[in-house]
Order: sequence, then C-alpha cells, then structure tokens
Amino acid sequence: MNKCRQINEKLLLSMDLSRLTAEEIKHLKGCRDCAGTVDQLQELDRALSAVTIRPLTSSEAAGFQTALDEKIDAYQSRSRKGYTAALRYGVLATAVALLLFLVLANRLQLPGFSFGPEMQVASNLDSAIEALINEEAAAYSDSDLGIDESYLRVVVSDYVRSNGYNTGDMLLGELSSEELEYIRNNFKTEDIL
Amino acid sequence: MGLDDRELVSKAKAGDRKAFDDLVRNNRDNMFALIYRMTGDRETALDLMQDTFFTAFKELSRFREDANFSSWLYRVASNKTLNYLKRRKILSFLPLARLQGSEPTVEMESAMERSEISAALLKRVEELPPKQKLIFNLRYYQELSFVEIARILKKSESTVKTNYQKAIEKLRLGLKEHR
Repeated sequence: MNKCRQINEKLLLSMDLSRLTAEEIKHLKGCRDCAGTVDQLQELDRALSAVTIRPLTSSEAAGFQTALDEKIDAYQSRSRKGYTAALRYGVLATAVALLLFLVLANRLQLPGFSFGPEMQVASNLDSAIEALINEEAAAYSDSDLGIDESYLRVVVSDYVRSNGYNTGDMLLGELSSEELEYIRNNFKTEDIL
Repeated sequence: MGLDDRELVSKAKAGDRKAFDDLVRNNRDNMFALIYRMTGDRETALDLMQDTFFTAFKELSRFREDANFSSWLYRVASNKTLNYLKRRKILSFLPLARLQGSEPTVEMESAMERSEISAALLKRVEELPPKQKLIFNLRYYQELSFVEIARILKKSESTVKTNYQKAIEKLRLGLKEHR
C-alpha cells in the first residue's frame, strides 16, 4: 500500500515511467491499482497533449509589436520631458539656494566668506538700505514737518516767564531757525504773556 | 536563458532598442501561450502580454544580467495574469458582467482542437484554483522544471510539486468521471 502511494505520487509529478526504479516497476506489474493509475495517467497525458492552442498569428504578432512600440515610445518621450523639466528646475533651485547661502554667509560674516568688491552683493544691499534710511530721515526733518504754533506758544511763554522777554538770544539751540523765524514774525508780547 | 538572450539583455540595458525587440521576439510565443491558456481569451492574452513586455522594458535596468530573462518574464506575466483573474472573478459577481456574459472558456474552446474529452478536460483545467492552474501550465505546457517554477513564483519546490500533484489528480479524476 505504501509502495502504491509512493508510485502514485511519483507518477503524478511525471508520467514518464522511466523515472521509476526497478523495484517500483516490478511492483507496478503485479499491482492492479497501480497499473490502473498508470493507464489513467497515460490517457490524461494523451488528452492534455491534444489540447493545443492556436499560436500567435502573424497579424496578431504585428499588431502586438506596433502597440508595444507605441507604448514604449510614449513612455520614453514622457521620461525625456520629465528629465528636461527636472534638470531645468534643479538648476534654478540650485542657483537660488547658492545665492541665499552667499547672502546669509556674508551677513553672518562666516569665515572665508569676506567677499571682494565684485562679490559684495549683501554689503551693497546694506549700504543701499542705509542710504535709503538717511534719505527718509532727511525727507522727514523738522523743516518739513510744518510749524506747530500752539507748541511754540507754550515753549516761548514758559521761557519768558522764567527768563524775561528778550527775543535776541531767546530759545537758541532749543528751536529750529525756522521756528525762531516764525516766532519773530508772528508772535507779539501780549500773545505770549 | 541562452547566451543570446544574455547578450541581448546587456545590449538592451545599454539602450539598444533593437536588442529589446529581439528579446520580445524570442519570448513572445511562450508568454502568449501561458497567458492564453490561463485566461482563455486571445485579446486579453495580447493585452496582458503587451503589459508584460512594457513592464520588462521599464524595469530592465533593475534586472540582474546573471539571472534568467525568460524566468523573469514568466514571473511578470504570471503576476499580471493572476491579478487579471482576480479582477475578473470580482467582476463576475457584478450584475452587469453577468448580463454581458463574459465566458472566456467558450472562446478558448473554439480556438482549440476540440474533442469531447478535450472539452471536458478544459472545463476541469478552468476549474482549477488560479495558482494551481498556473503551476500546471508552467510545468505541463511550458515544460519548466519544478525548481524554475519555484523560483518564478517564489515558493518552495515542495509547495510547487504538491500543487502540481493536486492539479493532475483533479484532472485524472475528471477524466475518469467523464468516461
């Protein structure tokens, strides 16, 4: 029985009887069950071999090849475009990163990043900002702010109360020349006291 | 893989499109036979074969040249076919698919030499679980060794052998019942 199972398992893997040992062949000849299995498997083998498929026709092969070529061409074209775009963006990103690094390095005054005149981008930027601030400061100087008459009246009144009425050297150094001029031209003694 | 395929793979990896076309030509019939026997539909087999070679083209740079190219192709084709069969099984549960009546066996039978026994056998083969059917086809019709099939399917050799035995036993019983 054990031998039958052993032979059956072997035959299920391969219907080639030459793979059986002499002892198994001997058993096969004397065992009706095993002989029956061999007959069935050989019949199965014949039937399976008869189940053939129609191979690929030349027109099917040609159609397949054309479709495959088109698919591959489209893929390669997409890949090339993707590569070019990636390269373009890569270069741009690198340039921006490098510029930012140089500006930062200069600002932080990292060693080895003291730029010569041709590379003083950040320094020039600082100078430009400073100049702009100065210009703004000049633009908003007192002369352009206009005269605050009520303020001047308070200042002059306090001064006169403390120091007497003498417009000759009055308030020099505390008020601007425009304000002094304004006082001289517009203020009267009775206005102040 | 013969030396030819090995050389072709090397050239194709270097960008030689003609070499890749030759690889396709060398392996096309085997892939078609396997996929057609698995799906039973010529159009589907052609589509899946196209997918298989397209994947091979895209992934060729990752293919180790010392490996067997046709085994690798068989693996790609097997995976695509098993996925397709899984999808088809899911779709067969949908009412619309049933109304349209996708019955691939009919197309396959008409394409094959038909005898009563062959028809009965085909039905039995069709009824095999997909992985068992795949192992049966790879071994019986594609004549690959159990070791190679095990490598292709990433299974142990004993698992492959057991599945093959089960498939043959089912077919033997089917034939016996038919008589």
